[in-house]
Amino acid sequence: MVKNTLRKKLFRDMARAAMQFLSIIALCALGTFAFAALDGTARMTRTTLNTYYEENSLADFWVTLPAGVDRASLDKAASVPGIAAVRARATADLETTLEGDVSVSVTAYDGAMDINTPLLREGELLDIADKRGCLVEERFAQAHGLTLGDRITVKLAGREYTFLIRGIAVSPEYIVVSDGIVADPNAYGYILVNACAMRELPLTQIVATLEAGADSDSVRAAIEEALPDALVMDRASHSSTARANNDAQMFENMTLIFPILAYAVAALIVMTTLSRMIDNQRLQMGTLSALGFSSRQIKNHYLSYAIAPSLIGAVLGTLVGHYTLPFFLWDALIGQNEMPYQLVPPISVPAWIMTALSVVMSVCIMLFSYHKAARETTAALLRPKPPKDGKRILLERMTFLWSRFSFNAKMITRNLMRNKLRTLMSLVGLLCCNMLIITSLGLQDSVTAMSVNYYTGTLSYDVRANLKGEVGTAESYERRLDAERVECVMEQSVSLRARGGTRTVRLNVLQDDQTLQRLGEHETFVSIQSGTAAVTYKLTKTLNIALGDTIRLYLPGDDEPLTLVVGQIVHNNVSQGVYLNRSTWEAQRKGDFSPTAIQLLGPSEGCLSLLEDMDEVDSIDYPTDQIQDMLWMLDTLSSVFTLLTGIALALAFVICYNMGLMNFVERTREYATLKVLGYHQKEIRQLILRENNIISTLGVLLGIVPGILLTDVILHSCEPETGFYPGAPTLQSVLIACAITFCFSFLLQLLLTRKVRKIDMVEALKSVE
Amino acid sequence: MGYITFENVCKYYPTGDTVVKAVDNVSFSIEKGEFCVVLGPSGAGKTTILNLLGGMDKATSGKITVGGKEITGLRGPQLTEYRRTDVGFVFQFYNLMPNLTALENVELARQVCRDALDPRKVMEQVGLGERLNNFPAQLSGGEQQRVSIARALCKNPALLLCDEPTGALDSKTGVQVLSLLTDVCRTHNATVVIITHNAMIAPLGNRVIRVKNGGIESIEQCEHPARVEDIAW
Repeated sequence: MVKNTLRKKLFRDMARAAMQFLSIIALCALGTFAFAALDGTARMTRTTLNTYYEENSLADFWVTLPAGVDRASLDKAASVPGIAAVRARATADLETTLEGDVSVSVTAYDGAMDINTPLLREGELLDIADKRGCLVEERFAQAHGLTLGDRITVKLAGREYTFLIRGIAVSPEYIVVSDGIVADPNAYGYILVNACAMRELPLTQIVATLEAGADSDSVRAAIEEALPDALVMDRASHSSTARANNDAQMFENMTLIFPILAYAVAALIVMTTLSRMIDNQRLQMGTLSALGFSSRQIKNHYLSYAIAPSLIGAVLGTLVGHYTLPFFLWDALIGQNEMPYQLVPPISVPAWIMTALSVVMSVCIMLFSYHKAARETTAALLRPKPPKDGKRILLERMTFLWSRFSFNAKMITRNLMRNKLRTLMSLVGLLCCNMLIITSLGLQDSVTAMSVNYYTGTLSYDVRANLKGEVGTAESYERRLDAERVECVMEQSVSLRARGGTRTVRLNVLQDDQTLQRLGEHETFVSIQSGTAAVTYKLTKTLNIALGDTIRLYLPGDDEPLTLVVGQIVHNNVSQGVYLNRSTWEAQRKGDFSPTAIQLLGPSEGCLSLLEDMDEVDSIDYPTDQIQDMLWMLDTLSSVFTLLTGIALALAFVICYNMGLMNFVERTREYATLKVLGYHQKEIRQLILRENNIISTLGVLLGIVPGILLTDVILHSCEPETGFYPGAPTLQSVLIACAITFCFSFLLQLLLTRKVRKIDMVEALKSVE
Repeated sequence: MGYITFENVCKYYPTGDTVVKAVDNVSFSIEKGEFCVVLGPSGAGKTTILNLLGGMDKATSGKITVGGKEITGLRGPQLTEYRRTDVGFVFQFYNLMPNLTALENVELARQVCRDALDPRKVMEQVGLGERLNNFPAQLSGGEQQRVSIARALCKNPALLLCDEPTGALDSKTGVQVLSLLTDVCRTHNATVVIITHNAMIAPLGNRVIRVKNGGIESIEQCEHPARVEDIAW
């Protein structure tokens, strides 16, 4: 009976303060929503990738032996402790006879396809002895209208090989299918065949899987020892796997800090609101107590106040966040990566912990507020709390300043100081919102800046021609090509061994007088010194390399390393590696300076058409196009940033609304009195707005520096090993963020102050409740 | 015709199917400069009369004029203007702004009024010249009510409306407040309307309007009202 009446009171209270309860629910929901959504998306990717890798036995090592794989080397690799299985195979990028300049990566499996097993979409897998059939990549097949039973022809050394398409499939080692920056199934794809179908393609690669529990790094070292002339790639250096992993990692890091901050802000506001709601209930608390309700009953009653909205909000946020947004974010996150399927993981333990924490925190603040009130006697509770004393504030003591204030300004200042908690909370709320908006805009800025700086700063040539096959000497190209500057580079993958570990990196050999790559800090120019190696900054950090250290570079197919002293640290924000100048390279007697690419500044028309006609020119890159490709690729990330901004705005909305409402609830009587005294509605609204504008301005201004810092922290935590994000939010982004936050707060107050009209003046004449 | 006139004024509150007749067909008039006491038990409709007179509520029907101005015909902003210039309010629970000092509370009224009096002088007049810089929480109930009266007087209103001004006070301070109000009536030549359920106050009025069940029970006029010191509390 008694219980029911109290429950009735609870429901009535909730209905009466519906907006306040709703805003608590919304805040709890927002806090858990952001985390559950981003955590769910990250886990969705991870679960999918891991399952895919596991079920289709993705290789742990790709061992390239330029001299060819024979029985002996395969046995050596297989006998390395920790290796579970090995397979030999051949790979090559070959041209096809398809319309346009279409090439494919051909992987020829020697024996069963039990490592990097393709996932069949249509048709059937290849029989082990099938010499005619092939499997074609799903997107590539779609792009070219290829179906089961069609034929595809590739060219190798002047001979054509035609394969019958037996199956449409995807392969776990091709999450990222690209020979450049972006995936373009119209121009590039992959096919899988049996090695027996292409005898002329030499087996040059061993793929190997790890035994369960074996340590990848030590096994890698063991392979390198067993096969000294091999180039060993692990999953961290295999480009597709590493990129897929980096994408996932980047998303995880980028999204970890953000939702936790959003959660913290939401929790802060919820706790303030709840404690204020209890404070405002003290008279009723006293009445209940005087009527003879036990303190346990009263406590439980008020606990329901806290538990109901926080539980509803937190669980709702988690469920909605986990089961809706990941499906929208999935596309953005995987971008152009080719994922086999989409696995929905269960709601993670951390997400549940966040949910539970919301409720626990609400309960704690409720108990705290309750006990604060319960310490007073019933009689004391029954008396209205003495109104908070107005106090002289510090500013008043500075008489010359204070006396210049208008009456309204004085009143507003005192109000702000009197309601310190509310002022502080609004301030913190707006501060955090501005910080979060600056961060989400800043992340986008920085990612954009990275690609723009790289393609317009670091690379200062206009055209780059990639060479392949029979190439001429650097001097011959300089003679033949008509351009302001012609510079050749020689690039290859090498295994770098230093104190801090081993990495497969790019070795760049540049001409001694090169000017087309700016490798200094902030895209300034430095020349590469003779006699020593220059290592990129990020790589020195990863491998703990210092100036004066000795590094060893293992070239593929050569078991005698280049041993060099690090004499210089250079900067490249996109790709990490080692730079040598031509004389240093030639002094090492590891072969001629044989260009792999030509960089041109200001090429003439004739020069460009000459390049197109040259047999050895494989492809031509224009940095201006590459920026577009890169930005386009990064554009998929922008939906993530948009989401983050959206969450920050939603948070700003609820916080401003909540604080505005609290202000209103607590000061209705004052506003009513003003109304009776003959203040026009407009004047009262202006008073409220001016007060709010001061808080908004302060909050917005105070949010700028944390926003810039947070951008930096998040950027550094999500940097891939190969890249380096420069810069911070642009001034424009900061201004936009500030304007958004301020306008948001202002418009909301404008909306809220419409309530002034509804204030009943008769209310002011009534007694204090 | 009087300074204040009520002609067949009704105020109905519809509640569900029934209609509560808070004020039903009330007519009376009050002369300028009178000290008028509206007396009645709780629920009689006296507060509704005050609200209507103060322009805080709108009559369902009938006509109210103050100083020749028809209040019932005024709309939102005009009503505010009326409250701002013509009426001074004294509330039962003082309704002072807790974060303004006593003087500042009085200045609050001056903010919206063109011909306001000097707040300091008014404060001296109500006997609080020494407590200008105290906050409401530092003042006693009687002192707070005097600040409230000073706030109303500062606007130099022709009409002073008081809702149970002694309701929250003990008898001694109540007497102080009442004598202040009668003084104001004399010295400022203001019309004072006091709403109360306390019959002891009735003898002070030039005019006593007794209200009962939403209607007028009686109206008495008294040429020589009792002095505050003489009434038995």
